[in-house]
Amino acid sequence: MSIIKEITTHIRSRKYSAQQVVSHYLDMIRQCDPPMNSVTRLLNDRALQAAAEVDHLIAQGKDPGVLAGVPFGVKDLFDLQGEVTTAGSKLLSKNQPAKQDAEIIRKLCEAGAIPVATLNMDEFAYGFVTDNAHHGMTHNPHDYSRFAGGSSGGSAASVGGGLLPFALGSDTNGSIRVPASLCGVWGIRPTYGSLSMQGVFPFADSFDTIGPFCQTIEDLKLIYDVISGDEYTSSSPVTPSELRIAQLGGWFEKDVDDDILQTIQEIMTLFGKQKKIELPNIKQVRTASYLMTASEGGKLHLPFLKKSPMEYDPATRDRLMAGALLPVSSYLKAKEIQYWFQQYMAQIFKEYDVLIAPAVGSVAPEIDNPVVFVDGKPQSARVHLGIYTQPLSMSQCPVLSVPIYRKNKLPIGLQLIAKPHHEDLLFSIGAVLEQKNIAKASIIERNHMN
Amino acid sequence: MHNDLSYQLVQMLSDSIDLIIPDKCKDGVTKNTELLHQYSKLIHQFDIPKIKE
Repeated sequence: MSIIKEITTHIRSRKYSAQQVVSHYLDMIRQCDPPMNSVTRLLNDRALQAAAEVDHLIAQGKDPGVLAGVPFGVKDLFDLQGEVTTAGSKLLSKNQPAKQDAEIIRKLCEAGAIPVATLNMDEFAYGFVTDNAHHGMTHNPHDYSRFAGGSSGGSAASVGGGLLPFALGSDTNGSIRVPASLCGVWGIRPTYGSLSMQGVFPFADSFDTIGPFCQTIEDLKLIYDVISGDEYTSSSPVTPSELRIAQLGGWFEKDVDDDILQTIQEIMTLFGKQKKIELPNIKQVRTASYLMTASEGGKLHLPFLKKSPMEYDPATRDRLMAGALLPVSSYLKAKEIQYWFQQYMAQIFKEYDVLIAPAVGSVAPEIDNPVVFVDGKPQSARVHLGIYTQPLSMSQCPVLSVPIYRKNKLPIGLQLIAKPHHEDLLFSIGAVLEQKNIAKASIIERNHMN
Repeated sequence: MHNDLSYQLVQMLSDSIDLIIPDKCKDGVTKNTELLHQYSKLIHQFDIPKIKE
C-alpha cells in the first residue's frame, strides 16, 4: 500500500492535521534513529511551519498539492533555504546557509511535501558505505551490524527503517542503487541530465544524478513525476510476453550469490524469456568510470585541497588529491571509452527494451568484516560495493533499483535498465514485479498514528 | 613503482598544479596515485572497438 497516498488521504479528509503527521514523524526519528544514525539534522521549525500552511490551505478549501503534508528527508547535499549544505563535510559546515531551496526541493514543497530532516552520507558522496568521519556511520535498519550502503546511506536507511515515507539522494556511481538494495527499498537513478541539479552540491559532473527512495513503486513513480515535472498518471500496463528483456551475463553474474541469480531467473521466466547477453569490456568501462570520477572530483575540490586539506576526511582527501594529479590523456581516454559505451548501449537497445542485472552481489556486508568478492577473492567493500552499478553509470540510461524481499533473510536488489528517457517502462515493469510479489520493499514497522 | 620513486613523481605532479601535499597525506596520496596509475595503464592498453551499425 502507498504510504504517501495514505498520508495525503488522511490529511485531506482531516482525519489528521499535517501538523500532527509531521510531529509524529519528528518524534519517531528522535526515538528510533539513534541506533541507525541516518539523520544528521531535524528541521523542526521549518517542518512545523510548512505543516501549518498545508492545514491552513485545507481549512480554506484550497488544493494543498498532490503530496499534501508528506514528510521527507534530504541527503545533505541539496540546498535547503536557511540551512548550511554540508555535503557531509566539516569543510562546508562553516558556509553561509543556502538562500533558496534546490529546484527539486522547491518542486516537492510546491506539491505539499515537507522536508523534516537532513540525512547522512559519505563525505562529498565519495563512498559506498556511509561511514562519515564527522557524523559517524549509518547502520543497516535490518541488521545494525551491517552497512547501509552509500553514499546515500542515510536516505535508504531512513526509508527502510520506516522513519520517513520517502527521501532524496544522489547517484554518481551507484549511490542510490547500492544503499537502496542493501536497505531493501525502491530507488531510481534517472536518465543522466534529465533532472535539475540546481542547488545540489556536485561530485563528478559526467555522472551525477539525483533521485528518490520510496517504500512502493507507486510512491516512487509519484515522486519522480513531481520532480521531473511529468503529469502523474498510473503506470501503463506491460504485456510480459511482448517485452524484450535480457539478463546481463559475464561481469554481471560473476561473484553474485546464487539466490540473486535465481531471482533474476524467476523474473525472466515471468516474462517468458531466457535471453542472456554479455556486455563486452566492462572491466575497462568500470575503470574508465573510476578514473573520470577521481579526476572530476579532484578538479572540483582542488581549490579547497590547496587551502584546507586537513578539514577533509583523510580517506576522501587522499583520493581527491590523487584524482587531481591524473594526466589529462588518461581522462580523455576514459571519456572516449564512455562515448563508445554509450553508442554500444544504444545498439543494444535496438534489440531489447530492458536489461536486468544485480545491483549488489550479496546482502549487506558486516561492518566488522567489510568485504565483497571480486574474481572469487575477498576485496574491500568500501571500494567494490559498486562493482555492478558503476559501469552502468557510464551509459546515461535510467536504472530502477528493485528491492527483493526474502522472508527471514536480508534484502537484496536488482537493476532494471532502459534506454534514456524510458523511466515509465521501468515503473511499469516494477509494478508487475511488485504485483507478483517478486519485488517488495523491506520496511521496519513503526507505531502508526492512532 | 618503488615507494620513493612514486612519491617523487607525486611531488612533481602536485607541484605542477600548485598543490602542496601535507606530510600526513603523503602515503595515502601516493598509494591512491599508484592505483590510478595502474588503472590508467589498463585503459591506455585498451583498443576501443568499432561499433557495427
